[in-house]
Amino acid sequence: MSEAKQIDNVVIIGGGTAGWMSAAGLASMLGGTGLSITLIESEAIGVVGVGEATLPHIKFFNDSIGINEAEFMAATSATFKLGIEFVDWGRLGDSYIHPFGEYGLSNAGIGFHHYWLKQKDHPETGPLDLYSLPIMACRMAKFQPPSADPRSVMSTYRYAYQFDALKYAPFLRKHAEARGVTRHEGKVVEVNLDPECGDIQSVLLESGEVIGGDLFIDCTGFFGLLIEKALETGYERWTDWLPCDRAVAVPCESAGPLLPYTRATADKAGWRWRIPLQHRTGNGHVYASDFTTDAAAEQALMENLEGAPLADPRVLRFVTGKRRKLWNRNCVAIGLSGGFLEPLESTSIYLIQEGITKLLEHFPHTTDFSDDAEEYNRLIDLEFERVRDFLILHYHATTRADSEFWTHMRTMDIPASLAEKIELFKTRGRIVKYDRGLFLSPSWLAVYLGQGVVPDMYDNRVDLLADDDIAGHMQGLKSLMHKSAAAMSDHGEYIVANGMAGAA
Amino acid sequence: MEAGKAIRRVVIIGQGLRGWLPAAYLAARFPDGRCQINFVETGGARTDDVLLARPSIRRFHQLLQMPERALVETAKAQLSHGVRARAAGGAILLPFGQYGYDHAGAEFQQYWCRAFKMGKAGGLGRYNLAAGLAEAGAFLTQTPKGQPALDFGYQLSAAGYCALLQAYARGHGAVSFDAADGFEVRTDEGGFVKTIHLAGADLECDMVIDARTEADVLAAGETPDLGWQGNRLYMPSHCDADLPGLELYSLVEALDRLIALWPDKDFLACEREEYNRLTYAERDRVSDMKTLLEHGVIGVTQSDALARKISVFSNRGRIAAEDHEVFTKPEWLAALIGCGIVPAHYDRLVDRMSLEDLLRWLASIEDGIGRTVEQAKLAARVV
Repeated sequence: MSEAKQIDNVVIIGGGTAGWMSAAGLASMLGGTGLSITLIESEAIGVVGVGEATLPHIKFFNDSIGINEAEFMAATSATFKLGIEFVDWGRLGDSYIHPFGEYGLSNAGIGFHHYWLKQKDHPETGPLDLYSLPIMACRMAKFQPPSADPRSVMSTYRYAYQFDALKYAPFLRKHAEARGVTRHEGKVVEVNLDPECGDIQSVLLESGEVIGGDLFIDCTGFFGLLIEKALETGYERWTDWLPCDRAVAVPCESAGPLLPYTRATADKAGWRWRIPLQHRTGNGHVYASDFTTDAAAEQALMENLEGAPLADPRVLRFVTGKRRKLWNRNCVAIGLSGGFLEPLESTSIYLIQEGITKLLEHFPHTTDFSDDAEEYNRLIDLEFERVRDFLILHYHATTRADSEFWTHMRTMDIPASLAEKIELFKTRGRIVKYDRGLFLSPSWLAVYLGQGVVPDMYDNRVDLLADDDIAGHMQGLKSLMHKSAAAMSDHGEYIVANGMAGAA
Repeated sequence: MEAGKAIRRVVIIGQGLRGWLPAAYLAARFPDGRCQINFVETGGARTDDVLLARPSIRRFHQLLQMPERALVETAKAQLSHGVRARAAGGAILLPFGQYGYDHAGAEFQQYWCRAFKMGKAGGLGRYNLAAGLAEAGAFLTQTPKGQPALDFGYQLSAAGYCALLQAYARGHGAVSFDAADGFEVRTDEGGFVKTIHLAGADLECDMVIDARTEADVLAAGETPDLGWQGNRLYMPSHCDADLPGLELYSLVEALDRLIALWPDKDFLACEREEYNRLTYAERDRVSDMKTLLEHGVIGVTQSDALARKISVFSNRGRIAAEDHEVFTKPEWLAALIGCGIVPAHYDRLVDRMSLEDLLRWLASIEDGIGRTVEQAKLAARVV
């Protein structure tokens, strides 16, 4: 590398969700340090914008860059989200919710699910769902912000949003521009590399304008204009484990109560999403083109809409996996340009956010940043891998044999790291411990039990308590969860009453 | 559950504290005599008389419902706010508490680093209340309002603490057997321990906890092991005068791991593997710290994780934490700084604060800590 110079100019290419989240994040956190931030986008290039469902971390991102929740919700027609419902995954007819929160309350250091496992055949016990406040709220279409008091049962959950991603980027644009981000309209036609060191020097726009920078952020989506087309970083494909490679999306009119959760319904060669927004419902069908046709996938989507379609269906193609290095030379790939793990657990926007947060934490002072890049890549790779295993579990833990796709997924080889996790749970309900990683114990628990991975045995320390005591405690909890959920506001009414409703 | 499969007889082999601690722990976890705890006490005696207990010991004391008063009276407990480690370049204090405050997305040491590099801030230790108290020989059990978070462990008399645990274990049904004259481990053809043979007694067992030190196992002509094999689990033997606090810590952690994976007579491989995975991770994290303290930052083979910690810290002043760390971030910070590293760069986020504000902020933290330490010293004198 040539002589290190101070990083003064960041250039972001691409103005979708990833681009404007990056711009807003960098401007809010580093704008006051003399860093100049430019974003180049072209109105001629569409944005994907289907990443409408999020995880609770998004609230932290919005809060930390100073976004007002009510304004954000109104601007993006957002609704609250307390979990994800999975229908027909373990077997046809099944339904469970992966909640953003805990099950029960642990007792004597033993996870609640062990008590439940012991009691599950008792007629009064019922499904584990009855012991989760966010799940009960989902089923009743209720919402209320959680309490900060750890003693309250109302502190046992968190929430995320479901929003119109096509409106989120413009909303962030205003926020970012107000904090000094310069936007350039135009299409990048060429990427110029430094002939000596091979770093990106500048980009040439269709207008002939040349824009140089010290650090480039590639938010150009699957295309990877900088990270791949220019720098040829390479892509690690995970298609053997996650073979879905297309999605067809269409919005439709809403029907029924406004639900505070996203639904993922398993289909014959993939799954369909349903995301309730204030003014419409987002729908899509993620499928594996090896196992079905575009036409059949579109038909399955359209036949299952709950209301009239509001647009023509759009098809997206993708390859699951990740870029070999998300930070390569002076280019950081954030968003789909960095990798894609399919939207099953709403991780796309989360991974964008992690990319931005870790970039801020490792933001280089000078162009001599190979150590920063190495550590960044190590942390991001870990994040991707742990999400990957969790996604594979959804496809693999099934008894479905009604299509070639499900037979393949059920019988395929899985990563050793996941096989070990499943075995440990299957034998005695233990969940492998890690300090870090996006999905923690309750998430794994929800999917295991929801998809028929039931432990042969519970933690036998549960036997130290008398059965009657456990049963009594569980009845109390169940009724507490039910009462607490019932006392929450109606989800739709809460949004209106709190000035969060947007113009349709 | 199938009653026949439950573990009903555990035999602990060891000496003194190393045996009584698991005995007390398991006695607390299995009240009502559901599991008989037998302790086979081998010969030999401890040479150290003072033990350091890291802050996590307090969870163990809660489990035993150990009265503070007993700790003070019998075990001569004194509060401790840090580990005094011996390092290549002299002593380093690893504090049980935070350095300053993280602020607006950046960690405290990043702010400090900016001022320090300009020659406008003193050593990082001045911004750590735990370190200040430890240096002054003063103590606090609670973080005063508006001060960096503080934790504490104990200095304990080894003999007194052992007596407490022994009394607890005996009071909860544990029985000890003298094996100063030797014992014999009898296994079945699969290598599972069936009985421990002593002069005058044969102790049948479902599971063995081998709490002997590595040196004792070697002296007995056996091969030491770190983890769990078959129905025999070796307690970790981290014990190092240069880095106190690890022995009690690793015993309690090992028992926490075991109890979270408590087996039945099927002894599933996946449970052992998970236990061992976490055990080896602990060993590796301990070994990284020892290597750093003993050899400093250069001139010795480092694990990938330690090399990364050193390089990330040297470059950016961040602690590249692994899964299952033993030492906290402040302890790693103290160790890396103590080994003479000054990070080349600080987080750019720090530049959002004006230099004037930064210096004022740092001075106010330093003052606050100084005043708190003085008050604590005074209070100690009064008591």
